[in-house]
Amino acid sequence: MIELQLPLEGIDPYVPDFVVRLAGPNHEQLSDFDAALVAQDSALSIYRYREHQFVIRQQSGEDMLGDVVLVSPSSKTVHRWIRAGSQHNTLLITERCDQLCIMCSQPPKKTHVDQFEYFLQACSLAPANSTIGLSGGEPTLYKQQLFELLLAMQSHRPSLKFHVLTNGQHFEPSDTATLAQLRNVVWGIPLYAPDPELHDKIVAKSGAFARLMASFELLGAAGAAIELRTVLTKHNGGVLPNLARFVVGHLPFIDVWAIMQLEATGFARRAWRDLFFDNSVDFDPIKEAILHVQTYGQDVALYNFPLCTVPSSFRGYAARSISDWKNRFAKACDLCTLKNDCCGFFEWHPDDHTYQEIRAI
Amino acid sequence: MIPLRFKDTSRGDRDLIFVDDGGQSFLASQSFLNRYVFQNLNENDVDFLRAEGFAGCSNTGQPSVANAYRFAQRHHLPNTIDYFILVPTLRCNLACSYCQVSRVAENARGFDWTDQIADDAIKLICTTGAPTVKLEFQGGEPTLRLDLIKRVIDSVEKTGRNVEAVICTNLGELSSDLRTLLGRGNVYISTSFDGSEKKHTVQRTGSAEATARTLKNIKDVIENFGQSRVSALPTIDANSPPDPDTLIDEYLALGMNSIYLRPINFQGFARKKHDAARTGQERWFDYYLAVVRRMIERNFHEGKALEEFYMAHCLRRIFRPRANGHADLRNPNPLGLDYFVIDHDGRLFPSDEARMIDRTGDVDMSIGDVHSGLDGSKVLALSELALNDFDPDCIHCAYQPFCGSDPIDSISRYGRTDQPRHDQYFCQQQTMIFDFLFEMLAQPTAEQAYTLALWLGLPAIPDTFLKVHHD
Repeated sequence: MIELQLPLEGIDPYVPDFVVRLAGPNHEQLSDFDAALVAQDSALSIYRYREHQFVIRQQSGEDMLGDVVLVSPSSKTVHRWIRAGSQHNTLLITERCDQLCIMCSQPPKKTHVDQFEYFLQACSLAPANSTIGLSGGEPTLYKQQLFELLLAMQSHRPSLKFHVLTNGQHFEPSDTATLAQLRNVVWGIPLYAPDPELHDKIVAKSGAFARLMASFELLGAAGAAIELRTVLTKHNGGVLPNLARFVVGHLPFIDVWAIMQLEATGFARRAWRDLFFDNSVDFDPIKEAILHVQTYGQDVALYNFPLCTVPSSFRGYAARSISDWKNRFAKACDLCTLKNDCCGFFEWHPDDHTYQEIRAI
Repeated sequence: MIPLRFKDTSRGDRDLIFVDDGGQSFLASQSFLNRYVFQNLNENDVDFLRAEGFAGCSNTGQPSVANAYRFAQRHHLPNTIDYFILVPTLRCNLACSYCQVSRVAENARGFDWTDQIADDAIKLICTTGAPTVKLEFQGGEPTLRLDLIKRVIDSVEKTGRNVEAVICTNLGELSSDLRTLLGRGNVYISTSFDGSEKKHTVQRTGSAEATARTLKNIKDVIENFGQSRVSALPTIDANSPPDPDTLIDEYLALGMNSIYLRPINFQGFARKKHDAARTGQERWFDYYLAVVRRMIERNFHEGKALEEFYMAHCLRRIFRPRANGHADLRNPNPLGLDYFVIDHDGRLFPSDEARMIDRTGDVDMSIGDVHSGLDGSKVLALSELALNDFDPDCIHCAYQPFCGSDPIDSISRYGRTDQPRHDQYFCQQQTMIFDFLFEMLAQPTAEQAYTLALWLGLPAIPDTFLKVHHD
């Protein structure tokens, strides 16, 4: 597990938050937004930024060169927002949400702190060609600011790509031109069932399915890039083949359909036994769904599926999807020849909440 | 509700295939057809049509962006020109009985690119905006002018473009110069092998030694440069075809699982000499399907991965709106817009077949020349014929969304482009293939299901391939 928040010391707590890129000791190449490394040992690094000096405590001794961080003196924390060496960087736009999915890995909160000004700065400093995740909560609750951020980056940082996780409840016909203009975004949008009743029940919002379909019409017409996301649970495992038919019939313009195994955190941890669909015991509905969409040439991927839980001929669909900072492996995995290709488990995956079949391949 | 076309598959109870404009299809019964035609759909019908995207899934919107998207994806939009078929010489060291492209004797004069043509050809190629350029060298026997091949590749690469070059050669010789060229990694060989040594000798080389040398050269290229660097095509005389298993075995021995079966072409000298080209159509269709049936059996029983390239491509087009990668089957089939031929005399043609028609003297098929470029008015005139959507026959056909159009073939065979479709070879061939595929898809045997899944690249065999509407 990689720590994304590190203890901050040596700076006046009344200094307002600021975003910097952590530079190395070579002070000649610094831009106005780089913090210069003054001194470093195995436990801490001392940086200077303009008139401020601050100390970051590192537990892992990991290289932070080039990381873009939010320095928050009031909370004595450094947030490693964009790690230079990682493809798994995500900015949390808000913790508010208008759905309450039964398996939510990050249950929403009522409060919202507007950090768009810092996000803009952070994205401006991100390494070229990186992909940045924008997540929540529900980012499109702040749709106008989100669009402004994405449009600004499209013109100022054209090499950056964004992956926005959204419930698709807030796109309007008046957004079509903006959606068509944005070419730096993949919209990750969940659909849990082919029928309104079940989908609405899973996201705990009446009318969500119908609203989502209206958004898909807009996104499809705008030519937006879409990653359709379906988290697998006991509620929808059985209807996955019907969902596959729905995807082929109604959503041919999506780029990829991601079928996702449950993340044992948030609500899902609490209700694990009611929710977890063990694909190591029953892969049939997943198999049938994959075969149907693949017949029609629709790309499909399995996220968060350890390879040993997937029949060998379907392992090619399983992606190493668990972010580097939150994955781990079981004891049995030490001997597995496919470990390097496998997503492993979420760090917080409890040992008693697991698949019947976990084994080295 | 989206309009549907339909056709009998002659298989099973639910034996009708229904297809919408976007190419989505399903199987249903005669009684569904009656309900559909007489506007008497029941709740079960409507539920099915909605669930599978043949009607809107909600009452709010149109049936949708989904259908419009599929319709759009079914249509091939030409990009910038990035594919050039080059004929640096018409001379050839073989005199195959059915030569498709016409040829002249190896020592004939005046049938090679002049320096001026070569320079202007290179200039014309380099006007393309494409970062990667595909060059296909045809003939005659293009390896007689390896110097020109090398000159074109070098000049195009010098402009910073990537080149992918295919040399279409009889591979009677594998000279050290050709080996050097193959050493570059972006040069590929396309050759002919007519399915058995005996047929190859009769149809092409005239001697067993020459045939043996060709096969040895094919194996030599595979061994020294890799399997991916050489492909081979058989040309079949339907009156005297090789035994299907012999053909399959010979190709397997070359490490080739994908075979593109082609009959002796109607154009070029073939038309004048070979009776099969004119009258052997049914024999050809029978033979074609016989080979495909053997492939299906051998895939299942021997664990092979054989495909007849064109039929497998047609299968993928049934299900996949974006399968537009093959220039022989697409709609629209634009001529002179994304590739063209530069002939030995510097004239430009919309396709290799068009240059053959021109050569046999019937019609002027050129669309410009290498010095003054493409003639826009001729390209436009041909483009009118490229779309099958509104053809008065195709518009009624259930297979239209999967199919294409081939006006050049029509001109070649009938001297006109408005021959009724069902009287045209191209239409008959496509109907034969799609009938065969839908008959399998409707109710596949275990053997057929295995091959269908293989050709679709599926990791296992699905319960059904087509959507099925149960009464």
